[in-house]
Amino acid sequence: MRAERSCTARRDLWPDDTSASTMTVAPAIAASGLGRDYGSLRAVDAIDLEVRPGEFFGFLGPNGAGKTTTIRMLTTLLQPSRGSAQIAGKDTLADPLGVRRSIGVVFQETTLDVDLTAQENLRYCTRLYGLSRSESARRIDEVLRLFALSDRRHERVRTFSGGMRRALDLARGVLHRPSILFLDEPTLGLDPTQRRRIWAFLRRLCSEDGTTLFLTTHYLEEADPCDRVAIVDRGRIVVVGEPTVLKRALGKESIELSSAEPDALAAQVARLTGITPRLRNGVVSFIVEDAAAVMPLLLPLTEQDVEVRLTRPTLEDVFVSVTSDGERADVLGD
Amino acid sequence: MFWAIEAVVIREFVRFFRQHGRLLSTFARPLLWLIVIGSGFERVIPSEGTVSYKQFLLPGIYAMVLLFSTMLCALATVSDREFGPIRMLLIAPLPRSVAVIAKTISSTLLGIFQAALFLPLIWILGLRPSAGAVLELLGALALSALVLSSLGMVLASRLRSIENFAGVMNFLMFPMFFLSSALYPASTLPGFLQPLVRADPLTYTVDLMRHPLLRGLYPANLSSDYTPRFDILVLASLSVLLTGVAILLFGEEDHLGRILLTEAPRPGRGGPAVPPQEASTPGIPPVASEPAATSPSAVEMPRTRTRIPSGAASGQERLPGAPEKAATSARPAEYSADEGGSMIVK
Repeated sequence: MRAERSCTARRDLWPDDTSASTMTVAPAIAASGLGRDYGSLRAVDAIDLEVRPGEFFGFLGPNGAGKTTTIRMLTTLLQPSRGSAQIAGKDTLADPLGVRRSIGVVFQETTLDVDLTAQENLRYCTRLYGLSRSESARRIDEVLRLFALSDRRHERVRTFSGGMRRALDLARGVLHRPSILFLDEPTLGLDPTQRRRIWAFLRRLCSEDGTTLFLTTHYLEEADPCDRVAIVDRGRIVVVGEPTVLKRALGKESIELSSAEPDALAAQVARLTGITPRLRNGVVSFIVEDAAAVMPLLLPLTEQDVEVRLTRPTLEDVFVSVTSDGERADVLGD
Repeated sequence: MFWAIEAVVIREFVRFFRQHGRLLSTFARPLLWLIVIGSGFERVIPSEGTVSYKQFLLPGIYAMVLLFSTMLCALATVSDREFGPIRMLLIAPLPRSVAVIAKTISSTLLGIFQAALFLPLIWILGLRPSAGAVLELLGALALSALVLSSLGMVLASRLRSIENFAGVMNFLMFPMFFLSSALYPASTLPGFLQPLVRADPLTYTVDLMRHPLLRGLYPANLSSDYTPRFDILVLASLSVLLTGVAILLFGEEDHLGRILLTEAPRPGRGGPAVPPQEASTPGIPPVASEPAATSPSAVEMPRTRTRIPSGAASGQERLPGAPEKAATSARPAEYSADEGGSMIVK
């Protein structure tokens, strides 16, 4: 009964779909000056944010940037030291129950009780949300099928692999059909197949059900399908925008070189082109407007065993360029 | 609300039956005390009137069952928090008070259930209470379970990890048990201990349970110290008080959130209290000062980021040839920061 109420409320709140202009639709998530200190440590400085209903929003940043703390404040689990946040139009401090009724949260760490079976875990949740027995049985069937866990439903979670636990956690997060779903590193520790499956599910959730997704991830290439991403660093948002726009702003082409001696290679590239390249994971790379103009300068390198790749800038390039991690690759300055 | 409480109770019971060690110790511990301590003391303490020492001990055994059962429930709440399942409860649309009450109720019911398993001991030990007295005993068990459960919740709200449980056992549970009249009439304890005896909730639970069991049988020096009415008054008000305190302690959303922060910075514990970048650039906001963009098309890029390169070049690099994917997943190590603490080290 409660679930039905929340569904209709969702329709009333956001009659238009995501394509509607930002101005006319109440934001699904809004934060202004949201910050949190731990003693004298400033975990989150001031977050200003607006996420539209039905948007797939990526919240990226290095470890310690304040992503998890921000999610905890947005989901009413942590009180902000300053600022305020509204979720589905409800204030996190004034109406935490209203907020919790409209959201689902998938935490970075598991929430499952390993002594209970998959089905018992899910039933516990549906009952906490006040779903009727029949409704809860129906939804549990549905999500278990969706995540291919139906045949393990009566086994204890203790026997599940990390990927299965994660999938079950995600199933738990969407069980009550929240209109806004928060995910803190949903694919952490999963193998590529599992990650793909979960992302496919999330995309469908967003495009078909109109669920607003707010997620953090370390796998930056995964954030590409996000409608918009915000990159946070040191408790502040440093850049917000569509991934494609962000990448374009960075430059047109990315040149990557690798060899057995990346240090020497980086030095050589700097000497030949005058650009200080970025050296990460043994790959020397830099971003240019026009690769054709730079490539000839790199010709001397062909005598060595160097692998050259020409790619588009990735979200990771954007990330590195704006976060504190990018201090050695000031591609933007050039 | 009711469904949520029911869900919490069901979960606690399912867990109870799944944990075989807990199930076993539920049976073993009280019987061990009754048989070993009971038999041993019986030799030393001569039977008074018509009451044998084991009969005298029985209410104390019930108190012990309740004490361990409720404290293990409190422990389960702490471990729920440590290992995550409490988040399911915290993120559900329930007031914190309902969450606390649900936990208290499930602990109470589990306590009554476990104590009820030992009811046959009454007849095995040769006591023949009336039906009314048995009902009275059940009521006493319920009230005692409630008091101890709410006490457990107060403890659970403050215990950070289940490792602290040993401390609870040594410094709370055993003193409570020994100071109550469970093993011997507490009135025989020296005068300086009497304030502690009176402050011990278990004193009143044992007293209240002894009334229906030994009514009409006990000789003067083994008699209960208080009237049932007084016991009930003390226990009922203590339950209300402790539940209120537990709700207050758990109710601070902030406190709960804080407990959840398993990897969050804890000021004053390892690492500098002030983030290094703040220390190095006093007064200067760490990031570009433009307001954050909120409209979808707006893109803001700090054009210049003048930063002193930190550390030697080679210090931050990875092994050559490391695959891109592995590198991204290994990022936490690269930032060398736990969520908080120092963000940029090296």
